[in-house]
Amino acid sequence: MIFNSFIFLFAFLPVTYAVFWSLRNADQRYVWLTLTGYVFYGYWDPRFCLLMAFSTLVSYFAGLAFLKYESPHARKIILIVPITVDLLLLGFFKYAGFFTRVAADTAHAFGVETHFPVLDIVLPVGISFYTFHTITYIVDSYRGVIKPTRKLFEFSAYVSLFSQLVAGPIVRFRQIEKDLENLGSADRTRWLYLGASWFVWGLVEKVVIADSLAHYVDAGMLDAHKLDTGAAWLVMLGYTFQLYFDFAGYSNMAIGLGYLFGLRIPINFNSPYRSLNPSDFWRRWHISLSSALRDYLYISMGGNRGSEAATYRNLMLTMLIGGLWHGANWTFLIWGAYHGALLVAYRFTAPAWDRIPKWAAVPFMFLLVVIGWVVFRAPDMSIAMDIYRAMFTWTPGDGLVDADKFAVLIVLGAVFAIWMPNCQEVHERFRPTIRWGTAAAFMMGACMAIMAGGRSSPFLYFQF
Amino acid sequence: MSSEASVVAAPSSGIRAWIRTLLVLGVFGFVCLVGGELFARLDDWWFADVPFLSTPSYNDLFMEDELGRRGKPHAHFEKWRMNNFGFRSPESMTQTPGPSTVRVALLGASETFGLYESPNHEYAAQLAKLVAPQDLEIVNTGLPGITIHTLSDYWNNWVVTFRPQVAVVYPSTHLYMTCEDDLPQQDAPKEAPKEAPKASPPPPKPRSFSIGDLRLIARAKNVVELPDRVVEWRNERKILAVTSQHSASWLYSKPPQICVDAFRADLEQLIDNVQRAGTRLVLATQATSAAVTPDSAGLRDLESFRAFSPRAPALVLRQFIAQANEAVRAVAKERQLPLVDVDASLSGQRDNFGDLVHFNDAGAAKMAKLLEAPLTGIGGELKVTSR
Repeated sequence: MIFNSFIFLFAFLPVTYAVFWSLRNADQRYVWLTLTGYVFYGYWDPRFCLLMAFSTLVSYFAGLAFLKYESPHARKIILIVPITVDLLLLGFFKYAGFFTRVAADTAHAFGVETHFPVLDIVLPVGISFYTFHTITYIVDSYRGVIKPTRKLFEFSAYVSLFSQLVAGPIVRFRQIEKDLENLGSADRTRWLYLGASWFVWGLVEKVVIADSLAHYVDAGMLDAHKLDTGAAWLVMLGYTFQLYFDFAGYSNMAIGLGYLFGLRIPINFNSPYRSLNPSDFWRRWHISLSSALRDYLYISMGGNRGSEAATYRNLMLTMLIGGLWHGANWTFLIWGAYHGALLVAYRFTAPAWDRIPKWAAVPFMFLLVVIGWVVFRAPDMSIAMDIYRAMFTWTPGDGLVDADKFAVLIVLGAVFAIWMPNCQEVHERFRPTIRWGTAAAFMMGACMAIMAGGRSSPFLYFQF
Repeated sequence: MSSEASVVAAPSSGIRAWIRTLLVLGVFGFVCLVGGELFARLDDWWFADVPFLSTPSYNDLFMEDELGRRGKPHAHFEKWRMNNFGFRSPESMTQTPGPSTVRVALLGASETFGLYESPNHEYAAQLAKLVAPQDLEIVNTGLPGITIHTLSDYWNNWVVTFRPQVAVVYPSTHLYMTCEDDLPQQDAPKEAPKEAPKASPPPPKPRSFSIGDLRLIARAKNVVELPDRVVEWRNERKILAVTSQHSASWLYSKPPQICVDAFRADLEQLIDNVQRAGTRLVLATQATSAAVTPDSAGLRDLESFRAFSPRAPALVLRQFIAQANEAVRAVAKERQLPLVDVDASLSGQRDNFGDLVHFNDAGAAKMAKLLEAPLTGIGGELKVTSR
C-alpha cells in the first residue's frame, strides 16, 4: 500500500485514524498502531511481516537484556548479537545476490570458473529502513542514550509505524520516545490541521511534481544510450528534481501522518539544492540517514578525532556504506564513493571553497549533485557512462519527445525546490484558516484527479 | 430560569456548530472537486494534447467518410493512440512497407484493436515486438464493432492500400448471433455511444452540459469498480427490458443456423477479397473466457454479453461461437489456409480475459505467442520467394 493510492486515502487511513482516537489509553493505541503497521506492510506480501516481526522481537529482547545486565562484557555481547542478526537478515535479502555475482566475476577474472547458485531473492520492501530503526534502538540502548522500553507493543508500534515504515524518515526511538509515552493523553485536535497540511503538501510534491517529471525521465531513460547532449542534460536535471520531490514528498507525508497520530517525526529535507558545499548538502538531504550514518558509523569509526588521513578514510568508508545501503549495485557504491570524495575534497579545500560567493557556490554544488545522480539513476555502469558521454561530449541525436514541456516542468521544479520556501518554512507560520483549508482541498482534488488518471507511481525510495 | 435558558441554548448552539462544520466540509468538498476537474483537464492537455475545454470520447478515435468507417489519423483517447494512418500502430508506419519488410495486417474487431490491455500490451503490440527481429511489421488494423461482412469493405477500401503481404483474420463470431435482428454494433466499450460520429460535416450540434462530461467522472470510473452484483443487476434489467417485449418463443433454444451460414459466407467472401490482392492469409478461431461447457464464472461472462444479444441465452451464445469456430476450421481446411486455433488454446482460461472475448495483458501475450510461429514461417517463405 502506498500513500498515493485510493485504498490508503479512503480506507486504510480513515479507519486507522478513527479507531486510534476512539481508543482510550496508550497501550491500546500501541497495539492498534502495530496491527495497522502490519496490515500496511503485509499489503505488499504478508510473508514480509514475519521478517519484520522477527527483527522487532530480536531488538526488543536485546533492549530487555540491556535493562537486566550491567557488566560491560555482557552488554557488548547484547550489542553485537542482535545487530549481527539484523545485518545478516539485511545482508541475505539485499546483498546476497550481489556479492555472489561479485565473487563469481572476480573468480572468472582469475580464470576460475565457479558455479555459485543464482540467487533471485525478493527484496522485502523497506527492510533497509526498519533494520536501521532496530539497530539505532540497540546502539542507543547500549550507549545509555535511551532507556529501553519494557512494553513490547510500544516498541513494535515504533518499528512498524506505517507512516515511516517503508521509506523513512529514519526515526530514532529517542526522537519520538516522549510522544510514544504520552500517546494515551495525546490531543487529537492539536496537530490535526498541521498534520493534514503537511500530508497534502507532500502529496502535491509527489503526485503533481515528481510524477509529472517521471513521465519524461522514464521515457528518456528507456533509450538512455541514445540520448543526445541536450536530452541527457534534460533527463538528468529532470531526475534531480523528480527524486527530490518524490522523496521529500514522501517524507512530508510521513511527518503529516505522524502529526495526525500525535507523533512528531523529524524533518528529512531542508531545501538540499540550496546547498553551498558537500557538507551542507548532507545536512539538508535525507537528514535522517546522513545523521544516522554520522552518529552510528562515522563517529563510531573515530570520526575526525584522529589524523587527517584517518578522517578522510572514515568519510570515504561512511559514504561507501551509505551508498551500498541504497542498493546492491556497483552504481550505488560508486555514487557513495563520489560523495565521499566530494566530502574529502571539501574538507581539504574548505577555506577556499567557503569563500566562493553564494551565487556561484549554489549552482556549482547543484551541478556536482546532478553529476552524482547519473550513476544513482542508471541501472548499470555502462548506461551511466553513456549518459556521461552524452552530457560532456557533443552528441547529436533526435532529442526527446515534448522536450519543451519537459523543460518547463524542470524550471518549475527548480523554482519550487530552490527559491520557494520549503514545507517546514511554510508551516512555521501555519494557522488553520479557511483560506488554507480551501487551498488544501483544491490541491487534494488535483492529486486525486492525477492519481485516478493512472499516471501516479510508487515512491522511488521504496526500492531501497 | 437562567439554567433553563442554557439548557435550551446548548442544543441549538450544538446544532449550529454541526451545520457550520457541514457547510465548511461541503465547501471544501466542492473546492476539491473543482481542483480535481481543473487538474484532470490540465493533465490531459499537458500529457495527451487533449484540448482543455473539449469533451473527449472513445468515438473520437474513429471517423467515417466515403471509404467507410476507419480509425482517425493521430486521434487519441485515454490509452488509445492512432498513428498517422489511423491504425493503432507505431507512428513510424509508411504507406508501403520497406523492401526488406514483410507487412502483416491484423484484421479483427475490438479483440484485435485492444480494450482491456495496458498501453502497448494489446496482442498486436506484443506480437510486433516478438517478430521485429524477423523484419515483420505488424499493423493493428482492428476496428471495434466490425463484423466479417463489413471487414470486406474495410479491406477493399482501406487496408489493402497499405499493401500487406500477410493478413491474419481474428473474427468476432459472436457479432453474428444477432444476424436475424437489426441490432447495432455490440462490442464497443460500454461508454461509447452506439453510432460512430461522422468525420466530415455536418459539424456536431452544440449540446447541453451533462455530468458525464466531467473528466473527473471519467477518471473516477478508472478507479471505482461497481460490485459484481450491481453490474449483474444492471445487465439483467437491460435484458429484461428487451425480452419482456417478446414472447418466450422469441428466445433462441439453439444457435440459429442461418447466422452460422451467414458468418461462413462472409468469411469466404473476405478470403476471396484478401487473396485477390495477392495477400497470404492466416485464419484464427475465436477464444472466449467461457469453455464450451462453462463453469459458473464462464456463465457469468456469457450472461454479461447477453445485453448485446438478448435473444440468445448464455449457453446458446457459447454454442453459437463453437459452431462459428467449426466453420472457421472447415474453411481453413478446404482452402488449405494456415489456422491458429486460439479457441482450442485459450478458451476457458479466464485469467487471460477481461470479459467474455477481450484479452487482458496476459491473454494478449499468449495470443501473440500463438501467432508468432506461423507468421515468422510465412515471413521466411515470402523473403525466400522475393529473392
